Amino acid sequence: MTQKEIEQLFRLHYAPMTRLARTLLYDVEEARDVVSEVFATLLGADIAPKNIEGYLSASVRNRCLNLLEHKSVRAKFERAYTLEMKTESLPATDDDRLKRLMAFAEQNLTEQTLKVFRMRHLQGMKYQEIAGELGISRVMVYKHLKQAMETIREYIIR
Amino acid sequence: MTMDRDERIKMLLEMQEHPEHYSEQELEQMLHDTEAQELMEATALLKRAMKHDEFTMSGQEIAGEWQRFAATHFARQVPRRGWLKVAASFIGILLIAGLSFAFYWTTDSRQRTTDDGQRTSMVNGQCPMAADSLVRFVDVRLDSMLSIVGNHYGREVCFRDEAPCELRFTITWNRRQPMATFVGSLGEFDGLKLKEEHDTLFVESVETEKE
Repeated sequence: MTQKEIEQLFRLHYAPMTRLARTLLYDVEEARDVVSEVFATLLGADIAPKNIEGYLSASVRNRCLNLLEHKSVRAKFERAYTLEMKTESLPATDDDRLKRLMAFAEQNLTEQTLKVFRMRHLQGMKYQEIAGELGISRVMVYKHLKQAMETIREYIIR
Repeated sequence: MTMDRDERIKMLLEMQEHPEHYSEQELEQMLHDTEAQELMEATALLKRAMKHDEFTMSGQEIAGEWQRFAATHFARQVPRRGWLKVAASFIGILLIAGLSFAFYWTTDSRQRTTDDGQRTSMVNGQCPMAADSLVRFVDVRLDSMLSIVGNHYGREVCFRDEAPCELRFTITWNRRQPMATFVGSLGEFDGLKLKEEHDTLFVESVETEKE
């Protein structure tokens, strides 16, 4: 494929591919590397694969899952990596599913619970730091996180 | 292990915060607990949904990522061209080489007198990443050079035709100066036209007298 053809695909698909990689790996640099590697595979191709969007998404997902598979069990706990490692259970893109889940969370969890969850899992703060910043006890931090986990669990299994 | 539900959830939360306090065996054991698995999955899904929700990427960021990708994967590619094409363009290349040589002496000697900071050199497409204000490009292709310069100023670079891409320059760039200064220097080169429009720098070749 020519540079021009790859550039067109890059400008069109880079953002959704990066979003997918970041929602699986949570890491900006790792996500960037994965997406870049996928575009690099097009360099040696004579023509664009059929259903290019599906090809790109599936390639990103598979590379991310491969990386996750090799994460240590400690990293899985610490960073809350998904345990859905079977490819059939994780669609190439799950934008709609994540949007619905987010809407559900916003409706069924309090603002404070969502805030505690964000501080813990997106900002990587320790329980004691969260408690200090919000002026609540460490036990309350546990309760918010427990509430978040149980509510989302109910949503998943229902 | 006989733990009530609350204790198990508390332990799971502890494990998430400090997995280093637990042995691999203890962590694996927790992973085999069905309820703990479901709770961890719920945590991962909500985290993914939040990441998905907060993700934004502007056109300018994508352009920057493209420049980075292109500089890595295309800058040093050997151009594929047939022998006939090479032969046909040989005279033209000689002419351009002569003009480049003249341009080097006019531009570089002028800049050499104003250099007052540290220099970083870029030779044959190797990218300078030092914090110095002066970057010295030595025999670098125009497309590689402009991808770095454009990225620095947050501008997209668009070649309207491919001919100028392979031109090679030896020139010093002061990263503290506005982009227009550098573009102005390049604009002095016959056969090359550069124009800034909004966030894009357009580059094209212009016809020159060959006789």
